[in-house]
Amino acid sequence: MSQKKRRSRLQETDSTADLLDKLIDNDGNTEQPKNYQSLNSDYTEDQVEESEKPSEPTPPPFFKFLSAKYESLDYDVIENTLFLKEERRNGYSYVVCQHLLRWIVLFFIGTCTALVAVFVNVFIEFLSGLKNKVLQSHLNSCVDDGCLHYSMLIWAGFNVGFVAIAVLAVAYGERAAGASGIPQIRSYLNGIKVPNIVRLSTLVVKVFGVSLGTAGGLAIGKEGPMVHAGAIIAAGISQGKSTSLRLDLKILKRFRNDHEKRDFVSGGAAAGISAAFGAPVGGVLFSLEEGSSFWNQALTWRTYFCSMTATFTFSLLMSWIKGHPGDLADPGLINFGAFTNLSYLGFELPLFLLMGVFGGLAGALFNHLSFRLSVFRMRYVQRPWALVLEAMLVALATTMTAFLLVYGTNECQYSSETEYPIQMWCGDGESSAMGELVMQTPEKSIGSLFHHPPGSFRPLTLGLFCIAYFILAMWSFGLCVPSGIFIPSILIGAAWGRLVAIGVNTIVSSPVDPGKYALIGAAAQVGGILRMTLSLTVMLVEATGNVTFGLPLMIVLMTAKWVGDFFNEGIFENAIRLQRIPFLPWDPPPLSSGTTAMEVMSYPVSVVRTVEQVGRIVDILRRESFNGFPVVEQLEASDGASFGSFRGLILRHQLVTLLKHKVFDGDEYSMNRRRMLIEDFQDSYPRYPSVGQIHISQQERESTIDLRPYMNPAPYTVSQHASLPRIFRLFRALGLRHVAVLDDKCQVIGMVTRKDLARYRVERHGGQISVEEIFISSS
Amino acid sequence: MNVLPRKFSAQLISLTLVLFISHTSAYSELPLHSENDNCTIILNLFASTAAQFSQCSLKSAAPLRFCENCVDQFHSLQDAYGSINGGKAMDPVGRSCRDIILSGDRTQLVYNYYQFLLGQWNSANCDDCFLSTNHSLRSNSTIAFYDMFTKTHDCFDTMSRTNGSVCSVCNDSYRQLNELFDQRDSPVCMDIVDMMNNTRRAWSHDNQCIREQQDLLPVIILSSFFALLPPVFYASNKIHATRRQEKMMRQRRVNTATQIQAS
Repeated sequence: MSQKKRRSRLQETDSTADLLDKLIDNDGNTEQPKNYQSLNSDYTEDQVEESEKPSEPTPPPFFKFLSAKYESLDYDVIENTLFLKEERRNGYSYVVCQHLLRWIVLFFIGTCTALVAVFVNVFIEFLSGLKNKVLQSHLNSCVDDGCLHYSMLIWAGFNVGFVAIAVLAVAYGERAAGASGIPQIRSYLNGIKVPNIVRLSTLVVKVFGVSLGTAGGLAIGKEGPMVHAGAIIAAGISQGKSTSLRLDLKILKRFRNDHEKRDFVSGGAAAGISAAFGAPVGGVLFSLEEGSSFWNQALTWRTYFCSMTATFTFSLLMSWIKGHPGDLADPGLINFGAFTNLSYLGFELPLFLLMGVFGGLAGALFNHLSFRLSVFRMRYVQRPWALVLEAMLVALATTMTAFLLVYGTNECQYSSETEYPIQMWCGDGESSAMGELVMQTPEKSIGSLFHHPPGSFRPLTLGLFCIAYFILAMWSFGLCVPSGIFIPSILIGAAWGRLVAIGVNTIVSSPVDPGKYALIGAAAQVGGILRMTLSLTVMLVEATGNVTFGLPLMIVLMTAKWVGDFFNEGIFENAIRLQRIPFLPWDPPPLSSGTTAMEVMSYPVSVVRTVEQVGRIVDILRRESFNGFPVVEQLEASDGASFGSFRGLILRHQLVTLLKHKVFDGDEYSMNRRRMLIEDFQDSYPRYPSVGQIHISQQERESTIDLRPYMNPAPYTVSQHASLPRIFRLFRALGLRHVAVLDDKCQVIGMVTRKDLARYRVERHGGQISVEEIFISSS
Repeated sequence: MNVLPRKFSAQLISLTLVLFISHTSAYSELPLHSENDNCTIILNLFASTAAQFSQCSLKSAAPLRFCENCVDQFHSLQDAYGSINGGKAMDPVGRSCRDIILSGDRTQLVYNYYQFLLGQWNSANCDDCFLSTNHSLRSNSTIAFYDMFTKTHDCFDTMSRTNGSVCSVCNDSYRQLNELFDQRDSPVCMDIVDMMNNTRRAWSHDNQCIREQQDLLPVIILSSFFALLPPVFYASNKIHATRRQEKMMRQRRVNTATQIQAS
C-alpha cells in the first residue's frame, strides 16, 4: 500500500493527523531527514543530544534499510478460550489424525515437486534440442557457404526470444518469481511473510521462466528455482486450497496456519533440492542450514521422507524417460555423472586448500561485483520495460559471447559425446571443444568438464570459457528471470579446476585425473559464492555419487567460506539485504548485552482495553500498521509512560474478524457471540481482510467488545531490564512476532517486534566486526 | 584310479566346511585321459581356432580391418565353442565335456577367453558390415563404401604424386564417401568408422583441405554493434531514471531512558 493512500485515509479525522506526523516522516524526503531520530549512536548516555541534532546530510546507503512492507508470520499459537474449547473437543484422535495427515501431505509434496522437476528437465531438453538442431545444421553448412553471421543472428533470435517470453511473464506477470527464490524462501522460513512468494501464479511463472531462460542459453541454473517451486508446492498442497484459483477442497483445514505451513515449506524446499540435484540428504541439510529456523527431530525425519520421495519419484520418471524403466541405479541419473575410483594422495590436500583459497577470493569478487550491479539495478533499472529489455540484452550478449568463443577458438576433439556437435573450423569428423561447452545445457557442460579424459580441453579454451562465464553469470544473477546460481558457479569452478589439473600434470610425473580437480574447483567456487557448508558438501557428494571424497570437499568448502567471509557476505545474504528483508540471523549482535529492552522496544504503543469500544478499535486499526496490540486492564494515559496492566495480546486479524462478525456486547449480538468458532478466525487465512473492507455503522461504533475470550492471555513478555541478546534469543528460538515489554508493576511500556531487533545489523569486514542500527523505509 | 575313494574318505573324516571347493579340486586333479579322448579333441580344436582368431585380429588392428579379415576365423571359433557348449561329447567315465571344460574349475579359462574374444567382435559392431542373413558375406552398402573408399584414396594418391589440387579434384568422391557413411545406421561397423576417420584425417590434415575463416567482417560489425547496446542501455537508464525516493519511517522510540524512570 502506498504511503499516500494511507495518509489520505488517515487525515479524515483531526486527531490522527498529529499522530501521523510522529509516525511517518511527512515529506518523505531523504535529502533533509530532520524529522527522524538518528539511530547510529553507540547507545551512550548522550542519545538525547544526538536525537536533537540533524543527522548527517547525505542519505544513508541504499542497502542500510529495512522495508516496512515485510511482516512476520504468526508462528506462535494463540491459546485463547476458543482454542482451548476446540482442543478439548478434538481429543487425542485428532492429534493422531494430524500426525498421519502430515505424512500423507509430505508424500504428495515430494511427488509433485519431482513431477515439476521432471517437467522442467524435459522442457529444457526439448527447447534446447529444438534450438540446437536448427543451429547445428545451419552452422555446419554455413561454415562453407560463408553465412555464419546469419547463424549468429538465428542463434541470437532463439535465445532472445526464449528469454523475452520468460522475462515478460515475470516483469508483467509475477515479479516475485524473478531471480533465485532461495533468499525469499530462507526469509519465509525465518518467519517473514514475503509478498506473493508462495502463490500459484509464482510457481507457474517460475517453472516456465526457468525452463525458457536455461534453454535461452543464459548463464543460470534451475536449482534455486526448484527450491522455490518445491516450497510453493508445499505451501499449496498443505492448505488444500488455492486462493488464486478460488478453489477450496475443504480439506486440511487444520494445517491452515503459519506454524504448520512453515514446516511443510521446509519439507518442500528440501524436496526441491533433492529433485534438482538428486541429493535427498543434501536437501534436508539445506533446509536445516539455510532455511528453517525452527527444527526438531520429528520434523527432520519428515523432511527426509519428503525429500526421499522426491528423489525416488524423479529417478523413476527419469529412468522411464531415458529408456531404462525402473532402473534406479542407472548412472545417468546421477546429476553430474558418477565418479568412479576417486582417490586422492597426501600431497594433493594442500593443493586443494589453495584451490579453496582461490575459490573464496573469486567468490568474494563475484559477490562484490554482483552486489554493486544489484544496487545499480535497484536504483536505475526498475520499470518493467527496462527489466525486459535488460534481460533480452543479457541474452543477446550471452549468445554473442558463446558464438565468438566458438568462432575464435580452434580446439577440436575427435570423439564427441554431445548430441549436437559443432564442427566450425575443425576437420571433418571432429567437433569444436568450445562448441561443446557453450552449446549444451549447463548441467551437461559440467558433466563434460568432470568426466572428459585428460587432454580433452586445452588451457586457452578453459580459460576463456571460465572468464566469460564468470562475467555472464554475474551479470545474469538478479535479472528479472527465474535463475539459480548453483550451476553457473559449479561451471566456473569446474573450468578453472581443470586448468589447475593441467598445471599439476606438467609438474608431477604420474598424471592426475582432471575431473577430480574440476570437482574441487567447483566446490571451491560454489563455497566462495554461496558460503554454504555442510549441505553443499553433502549435495556435491550425492550429486557425484562419491562418499570417499567427503574430506577434500569439506576442506575446500571451509577454506573458501573463511576466505570469502573475510571480504563480504554470501550472495544470498546480499540479496536479503538488498531486498531490505528484516532477517534475523542465528545469533544476537555481539557485545550487545548492555542494550536493554527500553532501547530496543517501540514506544509509545497502541493498546486496547479488555472491554473496548468498537469505534476506538476501528480507529486504532486504521491508524496503526502494527499487527499485535496489547490488551490492558485500564488505560493510564495520564502518566504518559505506561499504558495499563498487561492482560494479553490480540492480533490485528482477530480484531478484524471480530468486527466483521459483529461480535459485540449487548443482547442483539448474543447470537453472533455464541456462533464464533475458531474456524471463523482461520477461514480467510492467509489473506485476511483489511479493516477498510468492513463497514461499521455509527451506532455500532458505540458498542463494546469483550476481547478476553479471543485474546492470547499468556503471550511472551520481557521485563524492561531484559537485554537485547535475551530478547533476541527468545524471538529467534520461539519464532515470535510480538513481545510486550513490562515494567516492574506489570504495566505495558513497549512492544518489541522483528524490525526492532533486525535493525541492529552486524557488519563483518576484513576481520572486523561492528554493529550499527539501520533505518526503516516504507518501500 | 583309486585316488578318488581315498580322497573322499579323507573328506568324510575331516567333516569340514569347504566341501564344495574340495569337491571341485577333485575334478581338476583328474587328468584328461588320452589324446583320443573326446574332450581333449574339442578342447584342442577350440585352442587352435582361438589362436588363429587372436592372431588375425591383432594383425588387423592398424589400420583396422578386423571385421573384414577375421570373419572366417571368428565363425570357426564360434563353431568350436559351440561344440563344447552345446555338444553331447562325454569323457570315458561318462561325464559331459561341457562340465569338465567350462565349469570344471575356478579359473574357467575357456569360458572367459571366449567371452573376451566375443566381446572384441561385438564391441567393433562387426555384424553391421555383413549381411543380416549370412554373417560372412559383406552387405551391399559395405561393398559400395569400400568401392568409394578405394576410389577416393586412389584420387588422393594420384593427386599427391602429380602435385595436383586434391581438395578440388577429389572433392566429389570425398563427399560421396561421407554421404555413404552418413547413410549407415548406427552403430556402424568399426572397420568402416576407422576407414572414414582416416580418410577425413587425410583430407583435413594431410591434404590441408581446411575450412577458411569466412565472413569475418560481418561478424565483427554485428558483434561490435551488439556490444554497444548494453552500455547505451545502462547509461540511458541512469540518465533518465527518476531516482527512487526513500521514504523513511519515523521509528517510535523512547527518547531518553530517564523519562520513564522519573514517572
